[in-house]
Formats: sequence, C-alpha cells, structure tokens
Amino acid sequence: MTRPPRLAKWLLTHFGCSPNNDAVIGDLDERYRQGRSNTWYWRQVLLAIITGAFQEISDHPSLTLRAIFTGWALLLAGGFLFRTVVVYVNKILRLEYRWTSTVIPTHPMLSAGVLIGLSLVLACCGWATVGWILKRIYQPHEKAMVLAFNTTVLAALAFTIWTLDRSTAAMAHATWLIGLGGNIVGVLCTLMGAGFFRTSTANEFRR
Amino acid sequence: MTKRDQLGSFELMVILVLLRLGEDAYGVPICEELEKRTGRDVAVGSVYAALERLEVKGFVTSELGEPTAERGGRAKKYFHVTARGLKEVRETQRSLVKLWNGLPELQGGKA
Repeated sequence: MTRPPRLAKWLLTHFGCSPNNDAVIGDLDERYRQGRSNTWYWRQVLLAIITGAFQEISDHPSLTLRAIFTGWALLLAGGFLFRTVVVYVNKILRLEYRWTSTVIPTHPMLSAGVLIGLSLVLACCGWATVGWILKRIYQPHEKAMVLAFNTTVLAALAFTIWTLDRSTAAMAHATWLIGLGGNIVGVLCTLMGAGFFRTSTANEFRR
Repeated sequence: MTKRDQLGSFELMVILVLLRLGEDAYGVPICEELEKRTGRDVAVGSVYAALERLEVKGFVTSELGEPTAERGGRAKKYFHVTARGLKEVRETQRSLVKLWNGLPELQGGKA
C-alpha cells in the first residue's frame, strides 16, 4: 500500500488546529491512496494547517491577542533576564579563565566559546519556556495560539530585515544574519517547548 | 437571525452536497462531489472548516464512523443536515431565486 509523505503527515498531525484533524488526515490518506500525487498531498496539508489556524484565530480573536501579548511579554522579560545572566556569567568566566590558565593550558578563545555555547543553550531554553507557558495557558486552543505568536515573531523579524540599512558594513549584515538564524531557531524551540502539541489528542471532542 | 447564522456561499455548496449524498456524507465523497459539480479542486481543510462552522450554527450534526486500513486506521466522520439547516437552505434558495428572477444579464446562460 502506498504511503503518503511522512513529513507532511507529521506536520499535519502536530500542527493541524482543526477539531476534526484526525478525520482530515484520514480523508487525505484515503484520497492519496486513490492515486493523488505527493505535491497534491503537501498542498492539502499546508492548506489544512493554515485554514485550521485561521479558523481558530477568527473564532477567538481576543484570546489570540492575549496569547500574542503574553508571548511577547515573556520574550522581553526572558530577554532581559538572559542578558543579566550572560553578563554575570561572562564576569565569572573571565575570573575562572585567569585561574584555570595557571593550572591547565587553555585555548585563548575558551572563555568566548563557553559563553557563546551557554548563551545559545539559555536562549533555546528561554524560547522553549515561552512555548511551554503559552501551551499551558491557552489549552485547548494552544496550537493556533502558539502559531499566531510565532507568526508575529517572524513578521517582526521580516520587518527588521526589510528596514535594514543596506549601506551598513558587512559585519552588521553578519550580525543580522546571526539574528535571523537565532530567531528561526527560537521559533523552532517555542514549538518544541509546546511539545509539538503532542498531548492534545482530545481535539475531536473539544467543541 | 444574526449575520453569523446565515449561510456563506461555500457553506451553501457544502450543505447542498450533504443533502445530495445523504447517509454516505463524509470528507472524501463530499470533496469528490464538490469537485465534480463545481469543476474546481477543493481543499479538504476548507471543507472541514465550513463543516465546523455549519455544526456550530446548528445546521449540521456529525458522528464518528468506522476506522479503515486505507485511512491509516482513522475513523470516518459522517455529517448530516439538521431540520434547522434544511429550513435555512430553503430560505436562502427563496431569497436567491427572488434576486435572480428578472435579471436580463442572467437570461440565456451566457456571460
């Protein structure tokens, strides 16, 4: 028996917001096995995710606004905390570096490397926590709410890139490129924090 | 009746297909019938979105059917038009016929 594209099916299973998501997947599988193409399946999956999220958002506009506000508030608070921690850790690591270098011969970039690695881990944890909190607060509409929040993050990022001064030095562009990558990783971490919505299997019965 | 309770054009198409299909109205035949009658490709997600709205308005009810292997073990969801839904379709039909009648632009079947 022919199997539909796995990734597409996984995406619909985890991000499909419709209360009838199971039935949608079943129907798509049935039609795919009747001879539809992979392109057709992917198109249907993407449309089902967008339509489902849009329906949830238009059904609950005030809840969506609250979710977006909550997400950004958490993100800004987290960013402030993150900056404070990084500055503090940096201070400690520099002291430690002076101490360790007398005992173990270390690479001069060790402190910076550790700091970057730690920052990355902390940032990922922060984004994931935002996703997790949004999921906890906005059940049973968590999928649409987290997707709406992530859309605003990506929109803000697109706006920032669009308004970027093209005449600035290559270094500034590199910084923005890192920011772009960081935000995309952040959005993925938010989705991971929301557990890719694995626990909400009761969608069928929620209305 | 509030605006939210009225039938949208796609919702009207879906409810007419449900009436045509009778007892066998679940996602796949609904999409096939819509494609056959309108000549356009239909997104399964859009059909379910319309069905959810119709269910919220009380024009349609649903029940879970049997899971099958060709559906990856997932159950079919059958939809039925309620008495209220049928009444709404009749009212919409009456209004549309009144609006259609006597329009010279629509006589003869050519645009």
